[in-house]
Amino acid sequence: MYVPLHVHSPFSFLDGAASLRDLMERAAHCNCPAIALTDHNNLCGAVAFRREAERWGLKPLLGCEIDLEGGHHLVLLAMDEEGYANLCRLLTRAHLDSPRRQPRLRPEHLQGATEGLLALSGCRKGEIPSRILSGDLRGALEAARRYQSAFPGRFYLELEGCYLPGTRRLNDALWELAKFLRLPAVMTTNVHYAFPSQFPVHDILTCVRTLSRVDDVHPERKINAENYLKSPREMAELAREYPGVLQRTVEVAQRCQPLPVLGRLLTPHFPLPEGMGAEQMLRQLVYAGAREKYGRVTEKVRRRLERELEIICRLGYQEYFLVVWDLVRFARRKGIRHAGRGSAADSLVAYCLGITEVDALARGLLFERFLSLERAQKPDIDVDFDARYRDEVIRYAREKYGADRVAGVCTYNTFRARSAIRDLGKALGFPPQEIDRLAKRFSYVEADMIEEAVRRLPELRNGGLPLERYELLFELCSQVAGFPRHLGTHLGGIVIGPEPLEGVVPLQMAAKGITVCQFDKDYVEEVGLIKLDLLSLRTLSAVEDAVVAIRERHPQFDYQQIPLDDRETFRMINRGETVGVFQLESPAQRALQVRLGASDLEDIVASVALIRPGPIKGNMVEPFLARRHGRQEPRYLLPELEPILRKTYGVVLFQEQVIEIATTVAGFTPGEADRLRRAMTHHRSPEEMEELGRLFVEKARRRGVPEETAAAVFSHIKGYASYGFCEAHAAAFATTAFKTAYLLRHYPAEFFAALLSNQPMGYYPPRTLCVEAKRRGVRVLGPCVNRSGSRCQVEGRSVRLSLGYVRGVGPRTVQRILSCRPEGGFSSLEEFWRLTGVDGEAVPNLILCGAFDALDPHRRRLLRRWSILRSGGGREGEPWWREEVDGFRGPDFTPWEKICWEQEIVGIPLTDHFMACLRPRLACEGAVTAAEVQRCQPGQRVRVAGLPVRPHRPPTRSGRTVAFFTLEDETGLLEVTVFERNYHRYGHLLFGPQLLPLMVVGRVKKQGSRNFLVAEHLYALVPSGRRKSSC
Amino acid sequence: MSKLLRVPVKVREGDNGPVGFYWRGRLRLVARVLERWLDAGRWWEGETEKEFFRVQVREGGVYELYRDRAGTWVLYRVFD
Repeated sequence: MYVPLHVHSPFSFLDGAASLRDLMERAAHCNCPAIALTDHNNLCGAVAFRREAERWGLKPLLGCEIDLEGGHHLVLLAMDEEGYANLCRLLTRAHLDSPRRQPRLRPEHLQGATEGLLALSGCRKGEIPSRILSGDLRGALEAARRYQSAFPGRFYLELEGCYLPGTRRLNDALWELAKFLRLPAVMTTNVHYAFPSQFPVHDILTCVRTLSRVDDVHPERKINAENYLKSPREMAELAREYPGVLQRTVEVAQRCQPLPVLGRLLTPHFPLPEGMGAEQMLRQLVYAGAREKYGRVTEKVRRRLERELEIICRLGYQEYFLVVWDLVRFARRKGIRHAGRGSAADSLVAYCLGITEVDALARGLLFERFLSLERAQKPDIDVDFDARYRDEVIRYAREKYGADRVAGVCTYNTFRARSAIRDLGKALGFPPQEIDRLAKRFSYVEADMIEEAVRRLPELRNGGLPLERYELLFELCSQVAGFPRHLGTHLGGIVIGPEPLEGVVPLQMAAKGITVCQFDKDYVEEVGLIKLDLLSLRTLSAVEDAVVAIRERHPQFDYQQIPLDDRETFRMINRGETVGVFQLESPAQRALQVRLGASDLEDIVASVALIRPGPIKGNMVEPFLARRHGRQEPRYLLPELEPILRKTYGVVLFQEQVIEIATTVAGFTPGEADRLRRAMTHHRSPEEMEELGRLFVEKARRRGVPEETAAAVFSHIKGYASYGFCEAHAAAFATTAFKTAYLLRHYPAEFFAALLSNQPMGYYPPRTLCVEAKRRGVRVLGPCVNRSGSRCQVEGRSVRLSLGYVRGVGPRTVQRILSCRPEGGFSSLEEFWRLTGVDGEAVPNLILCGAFDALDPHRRRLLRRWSILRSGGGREGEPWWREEVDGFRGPDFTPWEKICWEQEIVGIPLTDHFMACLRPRLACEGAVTAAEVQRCQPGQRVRVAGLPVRPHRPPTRSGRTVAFFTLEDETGLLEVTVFERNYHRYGHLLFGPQLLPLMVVGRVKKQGSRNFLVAEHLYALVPSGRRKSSC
Repeated sequence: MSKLLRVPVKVREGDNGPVGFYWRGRLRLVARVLERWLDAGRWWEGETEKEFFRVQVREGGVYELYRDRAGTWVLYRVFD
C-alpha cells in the first residue's frame, strides 16, 4: 500500500493529462487510502479534488508544487488549517511579488510561514535532486540542511520511480543523504496522468506549453510514459532497494487532515456607525426604502419584510446586504446607471434597498428562490452597471474594504474544439494557415464532439475535409476536452472577505491588473466566501447616452418615469419592430411578439422567459400563446395549481413556479424544492430527477393527492427540464426591455446614436442597425472630420457616426482631431494634416470612407493629394500641384468600390447598401426586396437576395435541425427558415468559413402580422474567395 | 565521447536485463548494469517504447543497448 504524494491534475495547466476523476478512480482501484494534489503554483483544483477524492473513498491531501527563486521546485502539503492558510499566503506572495505568470517564492517568504506545512524535495527540478544530478553533492547537502531547518520534522526526501537515465544514481544518492541527515524518504512517480496510454496527451500538452513541436527536442518533455499512477506492485518493485519509502507515504497521509475546509461562512464586514449593529442598520435602511417606495408601510409589506429580514439575519447575511446597498448607493451618487438582476429580484428587501427595480411583493415573487433557511447556497446578487463605469465601482470597493480583502473571481478557460485544434495542431506540426482554417470551422463544438460534428453538420460533411490526415489530431483533441487551458477572469464576480483573502484562497494577478482568486465562482463559495457580480451592461451605457441626448431637446425627460403601459410602445413591439431593444431583438423574440400581442408588462416578462431552450423544447410556446389569446382553456390538474400558474395561463414558465408547485402540492420543504429546481437546471441528472419524482409522488399522496395526478403533475414539471428562467430575473430584464423599446419608439435618432456609440452589443451588427434605422426614417451619416465627435451623435433627424468607427483611428487620434479642429472646421486636407499631425493608415482610411467628402467628394483625387503631401512633394497653390492634383481628371471610385471600402474600413456601407447596387441586376432576375415580401401573399414563391446575418441552429421541439437567419437588404430585414432537408443541402453556405451574399428562393409564410420566408434553394451571389473590397 | 551504432545484436538475457551480448564476433559479458530507463520514442509516428540499458562489460567498456516491444535487441551506442 502506498499514497501518491506528488500528483498533477489538469489544473497544472497544460501539464496534467488525466482528469481528476480518472486519477481518483485509478488511485481507488490501486487501494490507495489517500492521494495528494500538487498542481503547479496554484490550488485551483482544490475543491473539485476534495469532492472527487471523497467520492472515491480517498482521503484528500492538499498541496502544490511551487517554483522557487532560482527555478527549483518544492512540493508542499498542508497538514492542517494553519498549513492551508500558510500555503495560500506563500502562493499569493510567489505570484504577486513576481512578474505575472512567473511566480517565484523567495527564501525570505518561507520565514515564519511554514507552520502546518510538510515539504518534499520534489522532482528532478527540486534543488536537491538537481544538484545531485549535476554533481554538486556538497550543494545538495547544504540545501537539504536548509530545508530540514525550514521544515523541522516535516521535510522528506523524494525518490523517483520513473525509469529515467540517472534514476538509480539519483535515488542512491538521495538514500545516502537521507541516512546521513536522518531524514525520512518517500518515493513518488511525479504523477501527470493516470495510465501510460495518456502519455501522448501529456507530451503534446508539454509541446503546447513550451511552444514546441513534436519533432523538437525540449528539456521539459518527458522521454517515457512512466509518470502515471502506478499499482502497489509496480511501486514495490521500484522501492525494492529502499525499504520503508512506501510505508512513509502512508505516514505522511496520516499526518495531514483533509483540506480545504468547506461550508464555512466568511461574510464581509461592513463599517457600521458607532453603537449600531448590522441588523439594526439594515432594518432602518429597508424601512426607509419601503416608505419611499410605497408611501406607507402596510401590514402586507411589513409582514413580507419581516419574514425576509428574519431569514437574512438568521443566515448571517446582514452585512452582505449592507455592502451591496452601499455599492449601489455609490453608483447612484456618481450618476452611474445600474440595475439589479437575477434571483435577487425575488427579494423585497433588495427592492427597498434600491438594489433591484422589481417589486417582489406586487409580482408575488418567491423569496425562497433567492434565499431560504434550508438552502445550502449563499446569496448571489448580480447588478448590471453602465459598462464604462463598472470598474469605478470595483475601485470603490477596494478602497473601502482594502485591496487585500477584495479580489476578482477567476474562470477556467477550457479546451473546446477550436482552441484544441489550434494548439494541438500547431504542436503536431501542421502549417499555421491550415490549422487556422480548420479551427474556424468548428465554432461552438466541444473538443470531444469533433468527429460527431463532422458527421452531422453539412458544412463540415460536405466541406471536403481530409479526415484521415487529422485522425491523430482529433483523437488527441477529444482527450483534452474540458481540460483547463489557462486561468481567465470572471466578468464581474468579486469577493469581499472579512479578513485578508490571502489566508483563505491564493491570489494572483490577472491580465487586467487586478488580483483574482484562484477559485472560480463556485469554488469561492465552497470555502465560505460570498460572491457578488458587478457586471458591465452596454445596454445601460446606451440608455445613459440616449437619455443625455434626449435631455438636450427635452430637459424634463426622466428615464425612471417612463410609463410601463405606453400604448404606442406596445404597438411597436407587437409589430415585431424591436431591432435594438434589450432582450426583444432576436428573430425568435420578434416572431413571438407579433403572435403574442403584448398588452402589459407581464407579457414582456413572459416573452423573456419563453424564448429559451427549455420552454421551446418543452413545447411551452404554443400552449402559452393559444391560452393567452383565449383559443384554449388553461387546464389545471389540481385546483391548487391555479393561483400559481394563472399568470402564465397554466404553463410552467418560471423556476419559482416549480418551487411553489412542489411546496403546495407535495409539501416539499424549501430545501427539497430547491434541490428539484437545481436538478432540472444545472445538474440535469436523470437519476436524481427519478428520485425526486418518487419523493414528490409519495409526499403528494400523503397529502391526499391521487397518485396518478401527482405523477402527471410531476411529469409536467419534468417536461420543463433543460433551462427554465427565474421569474425575478425575467421581470428585471423585462423592465429594461420595455424602457428601451419606449426610447426606440419615441426617440429613435437618440436611441440609434446611443446603440451605435456602444458597440459591440446586442444581437445585430452595426450595419444591420443602420438598415433598421433608415427604415424608421433615421439616416446614418458617415464619419466626417468636421462634424463627427468622439461618440455617435444626433444631427437633425440623422445620426452621425463617430470618428472612432474608422479603422486605424483610435481614441487618442480622435481626441487629437477634435482638439485641433478649428471653429469652422478644417478647410483642406493639408490643413488637417498640418494641425493634427495624424499619420499612418488613419488618413487614407478617413479619405476612403468619405470622412473628407465635405472638403472634396472626389476620394481618389484626395488620396493622390495625400500621397504627394506625405512624400513631401509640393504644396497647394504651387503650379506643379495645380497640374498634378487639382488638374486630376481621372474618375473617382465607383459606388460599388466606395461601399466596399466603407464596409472594410467602417464596417458599414455608407454610400448605399450592397444590395442597392445590385438591385438592377437582381430585378432582372426577378428578385424582390425584403420590404416587398411583406406585401406578398402567403404561399407565394419569391426570390430575395441579401446579406445573411446571424445564422443559427437553436434546439427545436422535434429535435430536428432547423436553421434560421436574417436576410438584410437596403429595404430592411427578412427572416428566413431553412428546414432540415435543405439545411443539409445548403448549410455550408450559412455556416462555412465565409458568409457571402445569398439569393434565397422560397415560399412566403405569415406569422402574426409579418411575413417570413421558408427557403427552398439558396445560392451564393459572388464566387467564394473573391475579396469584397476588390469587387 | 560516444558513438551511435544502432545495430541489431544477439543478447543473453537475465532477470534484470542483459547479461551478455555478441558484437564483432565476440561475446561481451556484462559486469554490471549502470542504468536502466525507458524511452517512449516517436509515438506520433507509431514508434513503440524501448527499454534502454547502459552496461559496463567485464573488459571495462561501456555500452548502451535497447530492447523494443517486439523483443529485438539493438546495440545503440558505445562509449570510448
